[in-house]
Amino acid sequence: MVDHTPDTTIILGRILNDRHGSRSSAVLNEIPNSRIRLLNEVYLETQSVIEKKAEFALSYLQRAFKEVSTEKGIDPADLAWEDVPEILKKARFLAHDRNEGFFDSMEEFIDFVKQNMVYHPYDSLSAAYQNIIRSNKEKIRTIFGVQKIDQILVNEETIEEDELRMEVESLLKGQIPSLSEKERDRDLRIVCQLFACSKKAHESTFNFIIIDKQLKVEMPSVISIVKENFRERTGRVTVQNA
Amino acid sequence: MSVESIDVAVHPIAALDNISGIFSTIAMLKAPLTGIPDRQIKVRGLVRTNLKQMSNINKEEMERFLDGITDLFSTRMTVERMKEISKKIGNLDHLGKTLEKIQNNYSSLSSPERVYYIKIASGVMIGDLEELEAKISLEAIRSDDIDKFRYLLVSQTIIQTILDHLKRTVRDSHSLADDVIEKQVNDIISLALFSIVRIEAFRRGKIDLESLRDTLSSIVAHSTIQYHFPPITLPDEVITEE
Repeated sequence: MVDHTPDTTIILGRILNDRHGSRSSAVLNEIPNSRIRLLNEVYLETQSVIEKKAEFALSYLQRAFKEVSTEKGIDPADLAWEDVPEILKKARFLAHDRNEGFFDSMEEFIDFVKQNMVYHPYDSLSAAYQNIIRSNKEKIRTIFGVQKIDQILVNEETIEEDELRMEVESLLKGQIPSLSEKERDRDLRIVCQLFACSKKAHESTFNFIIIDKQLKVEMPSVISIVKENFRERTGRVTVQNA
Repeated sequence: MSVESIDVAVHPIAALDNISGIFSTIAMLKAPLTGIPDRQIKVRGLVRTNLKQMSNINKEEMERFLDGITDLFSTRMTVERMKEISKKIGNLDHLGKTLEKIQNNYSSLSSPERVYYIKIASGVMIGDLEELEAKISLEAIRSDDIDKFRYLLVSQTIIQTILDHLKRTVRDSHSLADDVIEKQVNDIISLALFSIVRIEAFRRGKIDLESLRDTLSSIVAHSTIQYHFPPITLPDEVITEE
């Protein structure tokens, strides 16, 4: 089975690298409780990639439905389950330049839907699509830390975010005099928010990726200051995925 | 110019072309009493008066309401913000006000009366949404355009997800206390309202496909939280620790 979950660092990069765009600005700067919003955006972006890939694979199946039905002179909605092997064969042919993983996933989607007794084969497309989203949500939960994503999406709780932000801000203000004022304010805000992220979801490696990768590239001096001064608070976070 | 001659569809979805149909679905999701057959409404007085107003509206009024409500729901939002925005429907034209009044009338009924009506309304909604989903499903499988197929697939899956959630709530309601049933059904109806309006907003070109996908991701996340599906394990699927 192909893992449809994209690399979360790529997803994060897409959001954070566009720091001056309206989307990241809304996430990081304007919305109260921005840490939660950020993770919600990450979740949505991750799902979006999965959905696009699934739509693409399923669109080949839909075209195959159309072609087989044309050959048989019937409506695609009237195709039966015994036509499905031929539909899959046709879909394989239509997508001949795609890799093996692409074909495997198409077949497994259909197998899954068959086992779940969808009455009309054509309804398998939407049922499979729904299952892809659901099953990948489980994988995203694994990546983010089990249950964390639910807390993020449902309970808008923040723990220590303000307190931590003030502490980090106060520390960094004194230690990064080289940054111009405008840039410093912007970067401090981001650093503090990201640091707060890492504290909240310490069971997941995901949050530290943000800090480590982002800061290593943009502000290498900051990460050592943060690590040094908040050692005990970052102790449970690892960098194994970074 | 009559409403029928105004083409509001930027992304055509034939299943939503009937303005009366989409209006009554949305109205019912905002104020469930409006979807209940007249003979089954036992209460009199203000409820009757307000409901009667709903039977005398023309297509221009419906169009103004749909235009307003799709504007309201076109901003980027989370499921939590959705409820907040739903409250603003009461400010939309006189139709919004009437729906708000009907909903207030409903809220002032006794708890057994509310549960009685919400159960009838749920049945009507399920039938209505099933019909809509079936139409979109047929349109999707018959589509010659891959882009159209993709957005129809997303739209159909949104409705399918809502339907699954609503049916499960109704199915499990016999073992629940009245106040729990009412809360659960009201929650899913709010989610359904948000979802259907977002599909209509997409049809009108007010949100893009990416935002429509986000709608799907949000409702899948939300529905999975309340009704935890067992993880889907395919034969060769292994989640590896990185």
